[in-house]
Amino acid sequence: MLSCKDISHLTSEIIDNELSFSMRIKVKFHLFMCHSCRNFVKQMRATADTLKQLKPKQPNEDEINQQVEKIMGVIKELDPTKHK
Amino acid sequence: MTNYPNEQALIKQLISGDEQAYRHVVKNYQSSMLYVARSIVGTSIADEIVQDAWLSVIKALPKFEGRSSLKTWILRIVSNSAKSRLRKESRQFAAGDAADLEILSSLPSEKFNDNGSWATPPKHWDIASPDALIASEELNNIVRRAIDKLPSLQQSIVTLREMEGLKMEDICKILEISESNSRVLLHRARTKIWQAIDKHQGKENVEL
Ligand SMILES: [Zn+2]
Repeated sequence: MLSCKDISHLTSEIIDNELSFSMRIKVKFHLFMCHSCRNFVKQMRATADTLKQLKPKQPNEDEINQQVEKIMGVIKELDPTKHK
Repeated sequence: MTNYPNEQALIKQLISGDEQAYRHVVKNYQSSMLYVARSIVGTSIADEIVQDAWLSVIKALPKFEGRSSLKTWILRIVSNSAKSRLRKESRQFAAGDAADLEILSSLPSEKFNDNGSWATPPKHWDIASPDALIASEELNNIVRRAIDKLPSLQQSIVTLREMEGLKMEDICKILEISESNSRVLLHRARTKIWQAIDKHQGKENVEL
């Protein structure tokens, strides 16, 4: 029998569908019996889905300008005929 | 900002030295490049590694064969720059949190009784759906702050896999970790972010 603690270790594999068949049966059985773990899995799934919707961090305008300037400098150095 | 119909078009522009194309790539890739560099060499020289990587990218672009996405290819160059730096300094590849991998769960043990059942079962969330979580500016910030607090390797995995949607297989190659380690790290990161969201849930009601 899986414990709630076991389920808490397996949650990512549960939500990413990475469990073996036999494990899936054991997990299903536990979740059928246990409201708290059902709740936890649901919340972890919402957490993962939230991360998927979150926009990746972008550098700010200054950081972008600085980096692009460096890159354009390198390009000119490597090939002086190339610049726009 | 210029949009690129496909990666081929973008790459063509990059090879020709087009500033707008580089601006586009810096805006969208630079943060991930930094995450990867930090995960491998630490914060202090991560920026240097990214500069090395840009030089390699510029030189190697004409030879890019498109067998992976441009982003994956660039991140692999960052990873190689970082690893060769470590070799040069004859340092070991010591990813920050690889050492404590054996601690499987990131939930504190007092959450569970000795028999493994919940000592404090997860509480009800008032804001429970991803859409609602995203819509709440406060929770949004809480999630972002929780990500910033993660060890750098976990930050990389969360960013590359969840937000950028890279394949786990590619991420493992970039960060030079095994598939099973990457799963453990992703799980710990998610659990920590769950904790951050959980801590905040129901707070409004308490304060009323
Ligand atoms: Zn349970």
